[in-house]
Amino acid sequence: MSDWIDFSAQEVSVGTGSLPLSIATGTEILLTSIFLPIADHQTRINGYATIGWETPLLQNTQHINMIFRIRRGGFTSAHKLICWVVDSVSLGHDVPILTLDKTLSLQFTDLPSSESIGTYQQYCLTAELAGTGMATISGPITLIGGTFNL
Amino acid sequence: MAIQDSASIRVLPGTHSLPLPISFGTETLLTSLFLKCSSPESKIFIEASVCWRAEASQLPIVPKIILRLRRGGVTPAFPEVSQIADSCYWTNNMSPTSVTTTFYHVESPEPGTDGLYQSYYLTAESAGIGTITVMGPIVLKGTTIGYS
Repeated sequence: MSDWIDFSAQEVSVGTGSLPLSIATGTEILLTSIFLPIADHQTRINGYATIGWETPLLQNTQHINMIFRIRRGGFTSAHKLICWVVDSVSLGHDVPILTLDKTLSLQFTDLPSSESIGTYQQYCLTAELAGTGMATISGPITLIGGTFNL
Repeated sequence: MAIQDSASIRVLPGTHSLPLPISFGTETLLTSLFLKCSSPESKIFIEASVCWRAEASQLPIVPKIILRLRRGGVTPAFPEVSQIADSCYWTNNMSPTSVTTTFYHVESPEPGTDGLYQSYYLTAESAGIGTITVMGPIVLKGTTIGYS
């Protein structure tokens, strides 16, 4: 890697923008996105993300799966999946707390797609709730991307 | 764009002050970093990673660690540029149980700091149910990226 060509970042702090954001089970929602310019076929992409989320303590035992995805060009299931991670919590009801706080970080890499040479590639960070229980994106949401030349 | 400065600290398990018990309700300094600033158009990219553990407990516990990144100084008087929390739920954990928490942060240098060094401090606070200890490694890495 010779040097950075470009660098782009979005950070949504706790309590700003749409945060806290409730997550519905089974629906993939957009958290944030970045655009990175793609010079040529030699461009290489590195990405980083951090998401803070929380789950409330309910009256029964729960198993929460928070699914975080990085998609290219959009945030529906039709858009190319670049990275996919799951953060899970199993939670009983025998502790005197109101919420359980979690932070997940991920890294991804990608290559240029031929149609984006000379323009941009968009990377979307999404969240989806699966399993039993509830979850809220409390923040921060950080999405960072950089491009390099070979 | 170019990397204009880079600095990293890695504190390995069993070295320096590790393992380090973390107090409930107060911030404990883990490590710090000095990074050269550039123009306000540049970016400072910080990566932090801390391995910690919850001590054994017969009762169900929800240990929680709050990690903060402060600029300029370690006390609460200095600006908190990032704060994250991580926790877990454990019942009947007969032996200490470990977690590694990682986060990323990006910000632009303060106006007027071009060419000067900025300090960043990583602190930990215990805020849940259960006793926690930072075992290490503690990693704090910073990069200044800008137009040269």
